[in-house]
Amino acid sequence: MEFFTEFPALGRRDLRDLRLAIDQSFKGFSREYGEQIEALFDPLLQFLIGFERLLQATPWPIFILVVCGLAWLASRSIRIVIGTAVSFYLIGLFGMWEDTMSTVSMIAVSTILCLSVGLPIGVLMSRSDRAQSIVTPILDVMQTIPSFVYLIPVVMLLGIGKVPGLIAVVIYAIPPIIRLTNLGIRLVDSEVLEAADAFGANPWQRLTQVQIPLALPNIFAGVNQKSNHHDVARDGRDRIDDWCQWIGTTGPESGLQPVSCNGFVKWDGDRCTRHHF
Amino acid sequence: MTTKIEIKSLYKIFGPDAAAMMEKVRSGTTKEQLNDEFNHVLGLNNINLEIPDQGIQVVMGLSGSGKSTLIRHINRLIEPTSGEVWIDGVNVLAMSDAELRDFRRQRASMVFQKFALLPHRTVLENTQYGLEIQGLAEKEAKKRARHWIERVGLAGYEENYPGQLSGGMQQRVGLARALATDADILLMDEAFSALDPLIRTDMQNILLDLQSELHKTIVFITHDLEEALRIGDRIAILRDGRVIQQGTPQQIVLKPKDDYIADFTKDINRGRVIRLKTIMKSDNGQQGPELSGDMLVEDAAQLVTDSPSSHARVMDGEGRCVGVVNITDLIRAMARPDIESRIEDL
Ligand SMILES: Nc1ncnc2c1ncn2[C@@H]1O[C@H](COP(=O)(O)OP(=O)(O)O)[C@@H](O)[C@H]1O
Ligand SMILES: [Mg+2]
Repeated sequence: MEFFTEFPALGRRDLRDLRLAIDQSFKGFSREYGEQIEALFDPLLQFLIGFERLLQATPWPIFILVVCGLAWLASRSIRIVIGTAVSFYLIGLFGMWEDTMSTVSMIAVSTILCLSVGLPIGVLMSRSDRAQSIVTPILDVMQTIPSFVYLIPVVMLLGIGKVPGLIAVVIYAIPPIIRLTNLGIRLVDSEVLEAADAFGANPWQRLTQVQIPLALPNIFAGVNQKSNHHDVARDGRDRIDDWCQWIGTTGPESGLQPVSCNGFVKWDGDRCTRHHF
Repeated sequence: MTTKIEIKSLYKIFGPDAAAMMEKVRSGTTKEQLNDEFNHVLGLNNINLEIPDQGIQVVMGLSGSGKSTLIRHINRLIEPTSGEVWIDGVNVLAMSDAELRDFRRQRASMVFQKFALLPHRTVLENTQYGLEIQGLAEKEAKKRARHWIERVGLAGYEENYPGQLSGGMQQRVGLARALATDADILLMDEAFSALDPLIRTDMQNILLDLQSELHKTIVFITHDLEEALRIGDRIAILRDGRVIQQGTPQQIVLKPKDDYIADFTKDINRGRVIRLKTIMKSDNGQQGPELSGDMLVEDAAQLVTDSPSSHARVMDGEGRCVGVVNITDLIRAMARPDIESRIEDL
């Protein structure tokens, strides 16, 4: 009877050995390959730092002008452009300009990263049911496990800093982009696709002239979700640092600081990517 | 008249095990049996069709009769289960992927029932689409696209998006896009079926106008007999994936092959289908207006009624008299067959 009431778990000692073994092998792994892996992520780090420097060095009026220009291109709405200008002006007024530049560069770089990785995967998924059935459960896992779980090994490998923050954001934010790219392409009107075939489009022309443009409203919904997910990383580097410390040792209070400028930037990105799709 | 497109013993079966079903279909299994007993759909059943160069071939049939399936075999959007498609002596089914793409770019363009325009592109950009795929330089493509937009009567709408246009105008874009590639074959799958009757007549006129100048080989699908008779130089009638009759509009109306087709054609305005040369009698010296043998009975009736004579002389292309008709012949030709038989009964 005992067999049914007590789960036949491993013994205390076995479990400890198992834990130790995993621990050891991971430590060994990070000792062995830590540097190479760090070197692998180095270009990313350099890019992030370079981009941040560029933003910091840009005179603020020019930055606001460029952002307003982008907002106009994306939304064609004068209200949103004015809102953008006012938000950034207020941010500067409250002395949060520098922090905001970090946030913006983080968002920009992670968005570029997410799109350049997420789009091809989404496209692949839309073209093959097999790819879809393989990728979907991975995305499910990525979206359900809490981010500190995968951050622990990342932090152990790469230390605390910008890159783990970026990785956290990307892992958290990329699933919606992949999913919605896949969905968007699969939902493209089959008659329009047939027209592309009938006019002799090759697979690349079909993808770039029909499938992606018609899936764009959905893909943008993914990008929009992504930029709003920056809650995870809070405010770029500072938050991630706090947060990683919290994972390691300290209490939870540091991860919860609300950052007002983050809110402004998010509002803006949201309006612009939503646009009238 | 030379043959442009030749379709030989074409079969299409939809289902996972189509090839294995071929034998059953060849030995006479019907569409219904195949569906009920073997869960396969018989799309096309032994189609043989010779489509003449520079003419309008109409394919007519009710919904589900296989029209769309048939037209998609001509540019191989659908692969047959068995059979052959030849165009200008070239076997379409033997083409490689690249050859097929080239064939679709240069030789055969298509107009779709629900227009199938690209919603994110303007009218001009939509019309350019085929040219872009051909790889034509932007400037030349724009120039040609503008030309065709004007020809279909859409000048001034170049910068509009399809969503801002009515159905009729969208289909004009569809037509302009298809014409712009200069393909010699035009495939039209119920291109006007989604339009209101008045607009549909407009579009038919545009098409006939253009055709009188362009002389393309057009395959025109419709489920509407009026439209078929108006547009078609030749008509093939499809039922359950089979061609049950083919011929000129007159042949279909005057000699329906079975009750099914007779039923279709009985309410048709015959005066708009039958031509003078079909009903004329040999020249007996009667005088009257000189009319072309290709003139429709309805138009001739009007002219003869307006003239002092009760006869008309029927002329051929060289201006020679080939026969005469009188007003009674004209009225009889327009009468519906069922009424004719009723009159005989009285
Ligand atoms: N992809 C497909 N799979 C299964 N059956 C199909 C498919 N396409 C068409 N059919 C069937 O083939 C027959 C002919 O269809 P279709 O050519 O679209 O007819 P039409 O254009 O005359 O309305 C119909 O019974 C239809 O259900
Ligand atoms: Mg159809």
